[in-house]
Amino acid sequence: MPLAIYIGRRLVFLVVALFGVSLITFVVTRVLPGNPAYLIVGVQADESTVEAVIERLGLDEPIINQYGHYMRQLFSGDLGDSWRTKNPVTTDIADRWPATIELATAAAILSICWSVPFGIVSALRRRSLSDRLANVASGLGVSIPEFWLGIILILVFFFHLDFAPAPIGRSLGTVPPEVTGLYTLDSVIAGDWGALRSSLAQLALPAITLAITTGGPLLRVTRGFMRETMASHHIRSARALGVPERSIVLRHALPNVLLPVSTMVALMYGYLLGGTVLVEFVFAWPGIGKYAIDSIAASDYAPVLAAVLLSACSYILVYLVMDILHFIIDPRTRT
Amino acid sequence: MSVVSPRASGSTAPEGIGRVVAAARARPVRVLVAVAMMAVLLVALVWDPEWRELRVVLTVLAILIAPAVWDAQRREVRPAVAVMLALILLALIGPLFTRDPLMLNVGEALGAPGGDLWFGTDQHGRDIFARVIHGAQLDLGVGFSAAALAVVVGMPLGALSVFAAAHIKGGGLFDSVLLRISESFQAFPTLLLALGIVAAVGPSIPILIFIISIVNVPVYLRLTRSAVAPIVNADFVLAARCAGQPVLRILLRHILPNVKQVVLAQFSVNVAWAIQILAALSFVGLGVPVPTPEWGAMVRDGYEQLVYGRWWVALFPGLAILFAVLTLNQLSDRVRHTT
Repeated sequence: MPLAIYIGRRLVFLVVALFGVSLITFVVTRVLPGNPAYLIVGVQADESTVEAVIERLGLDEPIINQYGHYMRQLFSGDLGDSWRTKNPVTTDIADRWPATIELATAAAILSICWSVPFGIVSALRRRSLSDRLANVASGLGVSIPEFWLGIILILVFFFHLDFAPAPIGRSLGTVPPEVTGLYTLDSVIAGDWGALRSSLAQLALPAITLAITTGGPLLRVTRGFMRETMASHHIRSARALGVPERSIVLRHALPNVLLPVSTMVALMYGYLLGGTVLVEFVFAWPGIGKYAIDSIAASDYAPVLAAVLLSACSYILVYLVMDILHFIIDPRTRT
Repeated sequence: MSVVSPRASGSTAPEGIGRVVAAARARPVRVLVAVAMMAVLLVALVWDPEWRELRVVLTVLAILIAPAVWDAQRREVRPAVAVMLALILLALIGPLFTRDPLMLNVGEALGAPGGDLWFGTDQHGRDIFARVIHGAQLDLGVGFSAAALAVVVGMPLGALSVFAAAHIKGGGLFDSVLLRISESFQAFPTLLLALGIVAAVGPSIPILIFIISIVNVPVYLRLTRSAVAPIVNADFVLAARCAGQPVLRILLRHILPNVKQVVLAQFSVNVAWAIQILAALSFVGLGVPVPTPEWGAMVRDGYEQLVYGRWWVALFPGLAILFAVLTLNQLSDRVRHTT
């Protein structure tokens, strides 16, 4: 199948998935009990404001018309206004999105760095020390509640060891001039090494927290695939032909393992883009997750919905990109 | 996994009340367990009008999993089940022996662990040890209930959708629509979706159970679907179809028993997830109402004491979550490896 047709087909799937996502958020807000007008303007709003919202959303119309209304709004990029910040939600989200991306990316990189090599090494010899350690690490990584881990890390590294900076957001010093919105990248571009050190220090603890919890599953999957590959026929043949062990692992096994692992990495990254909520909250990291939680606390619903929608869409997009990359890399998918 | 269907020969069993008697004769232990469960349920419901139904859930669960501890054939699973059983019993009986978890005592507020107060006290002087033990009932109870609800909905739906695609006209459409819906559900980060729904509906224990199970249904649906797909055209299914058995009976009797091991392993993981989601929701203030002892809410109390460096308030409830979730995950691993 040529690449263009494949991409076209995946795009159709993408549209279907996005449609499903929008349908679910619609059902959550409109069909569940409770007046959505109050969710949007808050409980303290006066009659006329509520009426205006009912008018704007068309809440007095039949449910089908309401859905049409809602879709039109989504297409025009209108996600409503936040009455807590007095801004359109899209503006607020655009301000906070880079913070979440920076944290998710840093966490994903750290997570890959420790778990993938560890998984590969531990798979080589069963019941070895590294195998046992990997068992413990992946078991803990899967089970630790990340918000609690964040708190414990703050207690240890900030209070007792005085090693990390105070967990209050992205930067303690001056903020670098904005280019990408990612403080670390921006300070490299501006050549401001002080700002770079400060933003990296702020990033360290939350990123480590997420790297520990997301690395657990990745470690387990990597080890599983590696074991499977090492037990397969082509590795046995290579051994029989006297290929050195080093070369077996690096040239014959590794490429086979990295492909499914890359799928997991993409899934993990997609998850992280919406899954940093609790860690952002604990470290006062001004991203989408903290925005959503702060809005919930103020009964401000439009931002919550927008955050949910955004994270679902980004997950779908990450998945799409990965599928297309696989199609390009792996000849077996082209049949 | 062996693919067997014990009753593919059609219905030769006696009808009506005779059938029940025959079944009772064939499996006396199961009947005993069923009767015991019903009795416990009845007693507990009459005895406790409040949200103590969770206690019932835990009792039922303890009765269900207890035989596995003594089952010599499941040597691999036994230790994990034993720890789980101990945890459930602790949640059931432990609260009788602790202090009152709601008792305020400002004089003893924020006392460090030591003496009678093993885990110290929180900002209202409540005994953290008592609250951790009482919290076990709520966290485990909600976790199991939510996961059970998700299984009960997701598993038959998954099996039905594959079955319909293979055997019933027009079933392919049903299957693909269901699959697309569950895919869309899974695009949402679980916690954020649960947050969104709770924020819209408002938190209470039944609603929390309901929402946590909703976000878990697609998992079972797809799992069961993939497990059933290879056997949906197996000979015993076709035989049952030829014998003219109704769809529901084929699903329940011939297909689902073959996938139960896979689902069981997932169930344990899912209880762990449910506990994590509940704790996370409570942590951000969208879970159980305030004074209720719940692990996530207690970690939140500890988070507020963080600026003063009071470590014990957050440490112990968090360890409780970790321990419960770790046990459940281990159990799932063992179950999966024995298949």
